[in-house]
Amino acid sequence: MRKSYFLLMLIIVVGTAALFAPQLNFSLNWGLTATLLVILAIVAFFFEFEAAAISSKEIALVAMLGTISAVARVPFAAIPNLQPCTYLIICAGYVFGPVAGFMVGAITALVSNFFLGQGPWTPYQMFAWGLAGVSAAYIRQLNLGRAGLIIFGALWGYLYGWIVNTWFWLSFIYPLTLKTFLLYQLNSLWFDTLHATGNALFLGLFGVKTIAILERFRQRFNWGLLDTTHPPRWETRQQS
Amino acid sequence: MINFRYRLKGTPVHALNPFAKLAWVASIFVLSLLFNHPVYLLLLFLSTLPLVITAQIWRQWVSLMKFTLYLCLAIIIINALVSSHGTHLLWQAPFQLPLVGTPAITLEAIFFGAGMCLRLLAIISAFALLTFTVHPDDIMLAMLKMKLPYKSVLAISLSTRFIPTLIEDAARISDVQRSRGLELDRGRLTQRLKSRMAIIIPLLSNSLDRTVQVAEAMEARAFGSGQKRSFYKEIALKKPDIPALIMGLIPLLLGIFIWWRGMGDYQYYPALARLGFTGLEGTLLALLILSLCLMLPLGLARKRIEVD
Amino acid sequence: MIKIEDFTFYYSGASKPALEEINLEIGDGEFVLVTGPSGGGKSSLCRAVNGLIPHFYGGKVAGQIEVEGRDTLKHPPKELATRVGMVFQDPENQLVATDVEREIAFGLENLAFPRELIARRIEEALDTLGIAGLRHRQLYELSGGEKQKIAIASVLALHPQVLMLDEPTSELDPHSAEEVLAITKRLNDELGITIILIEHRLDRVIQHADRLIVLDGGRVVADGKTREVLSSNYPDIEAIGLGIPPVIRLTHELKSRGFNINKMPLTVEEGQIMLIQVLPKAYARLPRPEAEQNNKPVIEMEKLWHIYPEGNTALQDISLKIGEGELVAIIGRNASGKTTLVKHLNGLLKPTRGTVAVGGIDTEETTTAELARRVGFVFQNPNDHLLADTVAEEIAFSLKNLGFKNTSSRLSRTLDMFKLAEYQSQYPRSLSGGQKQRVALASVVAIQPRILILDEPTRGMEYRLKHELMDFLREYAGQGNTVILVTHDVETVAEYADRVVLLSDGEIMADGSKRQILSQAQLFSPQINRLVQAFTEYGIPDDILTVAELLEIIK
Repeated sequence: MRKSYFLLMLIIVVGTAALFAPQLNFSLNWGLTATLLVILAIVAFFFEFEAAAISSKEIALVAMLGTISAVARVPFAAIPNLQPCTYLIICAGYVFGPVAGFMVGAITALVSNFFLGQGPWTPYQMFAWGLAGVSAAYIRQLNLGRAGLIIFGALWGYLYGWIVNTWFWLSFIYPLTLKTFLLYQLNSLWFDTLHATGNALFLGLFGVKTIAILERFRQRFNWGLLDTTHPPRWETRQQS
Repeated sequence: MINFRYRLKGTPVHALNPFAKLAWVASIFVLSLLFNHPVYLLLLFLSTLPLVITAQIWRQWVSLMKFTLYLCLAIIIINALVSSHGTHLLWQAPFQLPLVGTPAITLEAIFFGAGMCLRLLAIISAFALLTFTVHPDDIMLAMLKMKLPYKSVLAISLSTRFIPTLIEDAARISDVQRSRGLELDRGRLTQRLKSRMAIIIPLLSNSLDRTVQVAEAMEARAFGSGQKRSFYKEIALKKPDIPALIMGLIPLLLGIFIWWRGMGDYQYYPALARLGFTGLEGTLLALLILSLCLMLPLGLARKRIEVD
Repeated sequence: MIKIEDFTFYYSGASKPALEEINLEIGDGEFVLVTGPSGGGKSSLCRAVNGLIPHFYGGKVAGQIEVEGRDTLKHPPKELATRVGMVFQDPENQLVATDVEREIAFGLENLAFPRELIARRIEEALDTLGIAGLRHRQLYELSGGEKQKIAIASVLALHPQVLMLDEPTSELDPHSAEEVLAITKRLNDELGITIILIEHRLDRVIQHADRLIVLDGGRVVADGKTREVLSSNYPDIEAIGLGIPPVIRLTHELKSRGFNINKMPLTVEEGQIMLIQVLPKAYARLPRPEAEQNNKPVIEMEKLWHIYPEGNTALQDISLKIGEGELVAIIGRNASGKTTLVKHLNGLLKPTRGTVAVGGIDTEETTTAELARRVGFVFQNPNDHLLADTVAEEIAFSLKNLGFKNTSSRLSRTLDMFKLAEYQSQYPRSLSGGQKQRVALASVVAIQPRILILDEPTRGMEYRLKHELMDFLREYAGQGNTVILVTHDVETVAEYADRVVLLSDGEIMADGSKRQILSQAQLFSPQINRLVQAFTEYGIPDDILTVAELLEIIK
C-alpha cells in the first residue's frame, strides 16, 4: 500500500489542477483533456485495486457495497439528490480504506447509470464518488468525531456537484474564468445544497450506526481490508 | 423489478458489434468537443438520428432530450450573462448582479450558447445509443478487451449480478417493516429518512452476510489471486463486424484530420463570422457526415446475416 | 478417497471447537448423508474437506485431512476445486455471473482452460443435469430450483470426484428439492461421484444414502450404514432433536412395544411392507367425533382477484372466511398464490377486484400501518426483521411505530414469554438462528395481534425448535386469536393445524379440516397417511395423519 499513497496524491493533484488550469489560458481543448485525465485517474485506481485486492472477500465486499449504494440511488429518485449513496460510500471508505472506498464509489456511479442512463458525466461521477470514498479513509485518521463527519459529508455534497459540473463548464461555457465557474456552480446550488443536507442528515442520524455495522463485519472476519493480507494461520498444530 | 435501460430489440442497431458502437459514440463525443462550428455540430447531431430511429428508442430518446433542454437553457443563460466579448449589444441591464456585474447580453453570446447546445444535444443523443442498445455485460467485456484489470471488472460485473437479488431483498424487507407498522411516507424529513433506514440497515447487514458466502463459493470454484485465467466469452469480432468497426473509427480519424487542418473552428467573438465553407471544407465535411451515416447500412447488412 | 485424521478446528476467537477429534474415511463412490443440529459442525466439516477451513476461515487447526492424496492444509481451495466440488445452501449466494454460460465457465476460466474445452464442459454439465434448455438464459429469470441446478452444473464442470452439498434444498420448495436430490442420486449411481450431502431433514434423502454420519457439538456421534445407525443409534439421534421421518419413528415405537422388526424401513413403501408383516388383520374403526367449528369470522374475503402489474393473475375468485381462534394452514405448490393471499390480510397488497375485510374493516380503506395493530406478520427469514442494536429495542420497534403507551410493561412481558430477558441488551444478529427466530416472533407478538400470520415459519428449523414454536402458536390460537401459517411442511400441519386451505394456480382447490384435506391430497399427504392407504381393508382409517394417531389404533 505504500506506493499507492504517492499515486493517490498524484491523482488528486492532477485532478485538481485539471479543474483550475483552464484559467491559465493554455489553448487546449479542456472538455476533452479533463475527461481524459479523469478516465486515466479511474483506470489508475483500478490497477491499484488489482494490486491491492488479494482475495475474493474484498472483491465481493466492494461489489456488494457498491450495489447497495447504486440500488439506493434509484428508489430515492423521487426526492431529488436526497440519496444515501454518498453517505454509504463515505462509510465504506471510512471503514475499509481508500482503495475500497474508491471502488465502491466508482461502482455506484457506473452501475446505477445502467438504469439511469450513461453519458459523458459517468466518468466524472465515478471519479467524484470515488474520491469521496478515498477521502473518507483519510478523514478517519483525523478523528474528527460525529460533528466532523457531518461537516465532511456536507462538504462532499458540494464537492460532488463541483466535480460533476466541471465537465459542463469546460465544454460549454466561454470564457473559462473563476467567475464563470462559480456562476455555473450557482446553477446547481439548489441541488448541491439538498445533496449536502442529505449527506449531513444521513451521516448525523445513521453514520455512527452504519460504521459500527461495517466495523463489526470487518472485525468478525479479521480483515484489514486491502491494507494487509492474512495468510492462513496455524496457531497450534498439536500432535496427538 | 427495475430494469436496465438496455432493451433487447432485434433492430439492425442492436445487431451491430458493441465495439463498433462504442467507437462510433466515441467519435461523435470527441468530434463534438473538437469542433465548435454550429453547422458541424448540427450535422453531428442530425447524423445520430437515423440510428436512434432505427433502434426504436425514439420514446426514451425524447424524454432524454427534454432533460437535455433544461441543461441547454442553463448553458444559454450563463453564456449570455457572463460573456463580454461580443460586440452587438442586444440588451444592457439597468442593474448590477453579484459576481456578474452589469449584465450585457450580446448577439454573439446568444449564438455561442446556441452552438454549445447543439454540441450537448449531439453528445447526449450519441450516448443514448450506448445506454439503450449496448448490454452492460458487453460494456464489461469491452473493458476487459481494452486490458482493464480483471478484478475491477469482476467487481463491477458482480455488482450487476447482485442487483436483482438486492432489489428483491429490499422489497421483502420493506414488506416486513411495513408489516411492523413502519410508515415510509409520513412525517417530517428526518422521520422519512429514519423509516428509509429501517430498510437500509437490515439490507446492509444481510448483504454483508451474503458477501462472505459469495466469496466462499468463488474460492470453492478455484478463484484465487495472482493466477492466469482464460476468458470463455469475449465480444466476437466476426468477419461481418470488421467493416462496422472500421466505420466506427473512420469518422474519428477523418474528423481529427479536419480539425488538424484548422477547419471546423468558428469565430463567435468578437463578432460572428460568416457561416460559409470553402469547397474543400464542404467536401470534407460531407465525407465526414457520410462516414458517420454509413453505420446504419452496415447494421442492416449485419442484421441480414444474422437472420440468415 | 477422503481421509480425516484427528481433525480439530477452532474458528478464530472461538473458545469452543467447531470440529473436535474427527476421524473419518470416505471411500470413492459413497453416498454419505451428514446430519446433526445446527451448530453441530456439519458445515464446518465440509469446509474443512475443500480447504476453506483454514484457508478462508482462519483459526486453530490440529490433525490432518487428505483428499485424493492432497493435504488440505497445504493446498488452498483453488487447488482442490477439481477434486472436491461444493454446492451451498442459497443459490443466490453462490452465483457470480449474469448468465448461465458464464456462470458455468467461471471455475474453468479460473483454471485457465482453453475456450473450446470450456464450451465442451458447459454442454456436458448441462446435459448431465438435463437442463440444456437453460443454456442461453439470464440467471435472474430462473427459479430457485433452476438456479440451484446451475450451481451444481457449475461445480460439476470442473469434474470433481467428490461433490459436497451443504443443505442444497433448504431454500427450495418440495418439488424442486426432490429434483435436486434426484440429481445427486443419479450422479452417484451413473458417474460414480462421491456424494457428501448435508441435511437436517431426513425424510426426503434418507433412502438415497449408503452411509449416515451424525455430528453434534463438533463430534461424530454416529457413523455407519444408514439402516444400522437408525436402528442402533436411535435414542442418541432422537435426543439430539433431529427431524426423524415419521416412518422411522413409527418403526421405533413399534419395536419398543415388542413388535419384531428386522429391517428398518426408510420409505413409505418399505414401511408398508414392514407393517404387513407385523400387523394382525382387522382393527375396529374408532369413532372420532369431528368438532364442528363455527367461530365468529374475523377475516372475510369476497371474490378476491389479484393481478400483478406485469399481468400475471396470482389469485382468482377467492372467497374465504376465517374465524376467531382458528389455526389455519395455507398450503400449495410454489407460485400457487399463498404468499400473495396472505399479503392481502395486512394490506401489503390490495385486491385488484373483490374485497378483503379484516375485523370488519375493508383493507382498501386503511393502511398497512393501521392494520399492523391487529394483524401481525412474521416473515420467513428473521434477518429481514432485525434492525436494532439490542433485542429489547428490536421488540420495542413495532410498539413505538404503533404508538403504544405502555411500552415497557409489554416489552418485559414479551421478553419473559419468549425467554429472551437474558439476551435483552445483546445485538440481535449475533444470536443463534433459533434465537433470532424467537426475537422476530417476539417483536410481532409484542403487540398482541388478533391475527398472526407466519410465512414458512418452520423452514430450516430443527425438530425441537419447531415443536416449541408450534406449541406456542396452538396456545396463542387457544386464547381466541387467529393463526395463519403459510407452509410446505405438511408433517407439522398434520400435527398442529385445525384447518387446511389448499391453493393451486391462484384458486382454492380445497378447504376444510386437516383430516379431510391432507388425506386426499397425494402430494400434500403426510408420510403416515400415505402409509396407511394400503391398510384400509385392515380397518385402519385412511385419514390418519400422524404417528401418534396410528399408534393409538394399533396399541
